[in-house]
Amino acid sequence: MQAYDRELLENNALIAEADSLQHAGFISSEQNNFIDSKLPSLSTQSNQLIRAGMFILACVLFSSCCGVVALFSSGFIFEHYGWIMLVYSIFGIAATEFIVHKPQYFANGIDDAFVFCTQLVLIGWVGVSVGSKDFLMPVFVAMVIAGVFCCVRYVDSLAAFLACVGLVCATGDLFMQAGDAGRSLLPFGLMSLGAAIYYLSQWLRDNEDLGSYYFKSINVVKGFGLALFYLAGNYMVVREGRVLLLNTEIMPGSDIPLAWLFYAFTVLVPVGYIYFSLIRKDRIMLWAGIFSLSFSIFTIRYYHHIIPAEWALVIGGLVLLAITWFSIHKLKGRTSGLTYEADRLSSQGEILKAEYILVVQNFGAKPAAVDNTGPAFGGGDFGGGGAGDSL
Amino acid sequence: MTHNETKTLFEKGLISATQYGQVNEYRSRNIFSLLIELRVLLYLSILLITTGIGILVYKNIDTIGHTVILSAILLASVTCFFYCFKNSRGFSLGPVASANMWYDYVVLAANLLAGIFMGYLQYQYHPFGSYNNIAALLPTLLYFFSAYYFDNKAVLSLAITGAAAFIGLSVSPRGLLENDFSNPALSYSAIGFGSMLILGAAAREWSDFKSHFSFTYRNFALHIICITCLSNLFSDESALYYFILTAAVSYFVWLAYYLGSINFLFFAVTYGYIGLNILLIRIVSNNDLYMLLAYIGPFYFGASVWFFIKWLRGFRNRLRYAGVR
Repeated sequence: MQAYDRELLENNALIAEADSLQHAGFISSEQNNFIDSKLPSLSTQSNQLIRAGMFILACVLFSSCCGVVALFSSGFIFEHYGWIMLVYSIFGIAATEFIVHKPQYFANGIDDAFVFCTQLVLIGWVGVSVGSKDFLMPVFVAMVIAGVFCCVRYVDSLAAFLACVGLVCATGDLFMQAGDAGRSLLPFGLMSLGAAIYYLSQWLRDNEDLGSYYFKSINVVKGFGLALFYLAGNYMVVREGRVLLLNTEIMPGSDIPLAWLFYAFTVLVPVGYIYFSLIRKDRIMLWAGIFSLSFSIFTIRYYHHIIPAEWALVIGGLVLLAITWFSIHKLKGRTSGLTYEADRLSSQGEILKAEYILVVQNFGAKPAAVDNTGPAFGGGDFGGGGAGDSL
Repeated sequence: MTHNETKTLFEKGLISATQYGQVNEYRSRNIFSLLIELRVLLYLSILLITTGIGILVYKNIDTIGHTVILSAILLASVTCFFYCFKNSRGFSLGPVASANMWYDYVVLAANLLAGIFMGYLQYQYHPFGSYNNIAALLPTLLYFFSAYYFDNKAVLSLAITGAAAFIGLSVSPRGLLENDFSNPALSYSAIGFGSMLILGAAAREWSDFKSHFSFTYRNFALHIICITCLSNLFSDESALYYFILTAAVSYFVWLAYYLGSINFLFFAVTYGYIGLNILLIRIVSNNDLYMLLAYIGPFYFGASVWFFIKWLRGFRNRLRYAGVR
């Protein structure tokens, strides 16, 4: 099923586990090095910053390869755009197979980029060859198929995300085709899809035969399902979506049908997420809960200005501060279950080292306004210099 | 799917039964750490409250009056400083453990409030006339004192930012890209400032005086010097900046090997690679070699990828096996 050798993939997981055990202080660095040298593994990159840099570089490499093909076929390209995309797709698949088998790159940025670019050209090929009428549905279906295929074969979580996006678009398109009745039912359709995606991820997680290297992809699917379930039932999304899709206007004093139901979803879903995440110890659901709760507060304030913004900020902040303060005091020093202490086996705490970047960005001094150093020099507008190597 | 990597490690004989037992004991406690989540919420609540109070004060400035607000800020700052001195473990040349979990944040708050007080005072009453720079320098000196006395890296970052602002340079992550480097004087002072930070870090390590601060100094220096050079290279053809960039990148690559720091290696090589590409594009566009570029592109980028992967693997193995820290 997957392109990689299963044992090598599992060895990669073992090496990552040994690293985390060393980080937690259960084994020494010599023992960790010994484990690393004993297990043959795939070439991977655990530093996400470097992985992102290599991703960009590999995308440039892919497009420069496509550029050469375009140069050779410059006379031919405008009439037969679909064929060129097909050539790109075949090249993409061949190149991905090569880097997966020969140098055995796994999640080091290069393979991520090639899988991503291959999917894009494949979807583009489908879109171009279907023609200019009714091309949406085939494109969405292609997204799902390419995403699932790449996720399974190349163990790629970005592909899983693309497949989910394709699935949502396809479902949305189905409901949109079904006239006004279908459009009114769209929120419920998408909510059911979100729930289905979530339960699919749970089912996959409980599947004993599935290798644990799919864990990240399954987490992406799970987070997507949770976000979709909440957003599809959010009052603001439903209301504004209705205005947009049904071309109706909502008069002052009137409201969308079933408004009470969507208000209930807006309030209850985040609370439910946070409650169940703490019971099940599910971090993804917890973050989904935190984000959806903030968006719910924003939603309700957007339509109901009960108190002025500044008082809402102060009172909301004080309430949040009180809850956080209370939780920290309750959870501090606990050595099991919910706790405020860092988890030895998780490297999450590393993020806190970057706190000072936030401080500098928000409070760092700016040069004083220049009023005693002569005239300001004009021109030289320069922005986004980081992208300099992309030609 | 089942997560039993530790069990597999044990079955393969790579960890001992004792270690396996310890890990299992720890896992059985079912730890679910809310450290990050609660910290984020704490930040968020402080941000909400301060923003709200800021708007309230702004709207009611006529009834409250500047003197009252200034006194309130000063009082808050002094209270925080009082708390810091009372709980401080005293000055030490090396790192000092935080007195309690709130302590570092109180130090930060005390300094930020003092900075706000100074800025507000200068903006409203101009005690230093039009010399805004002098007004900005005073909090910077306070930041440096606090950073060293209370051993606080966040305040040290603030101090470096303040010192840079004194010479007209904005060095916050986003601000660094917004500087007007077409002004040669600013570019020279930025490079001079960066070099001073490097020298300062080296002196600090050599004399064992707060040597754990040197990462902060060098990190600022790396980004300041390289971004200054690159933004000049975009618009300018002078060889000077190529020379400075090469020197800086070489120094930081050497430092990365010396300290075993993947962070320095990544940024130094990225900046160096961007500089190299600017040079190559210059050569291509001056000699009209665009067709050649298009055909060579895949080989060039492919070779870059291959080379970087090899390099990183070598660096990683060196970190693991050569006994570098």
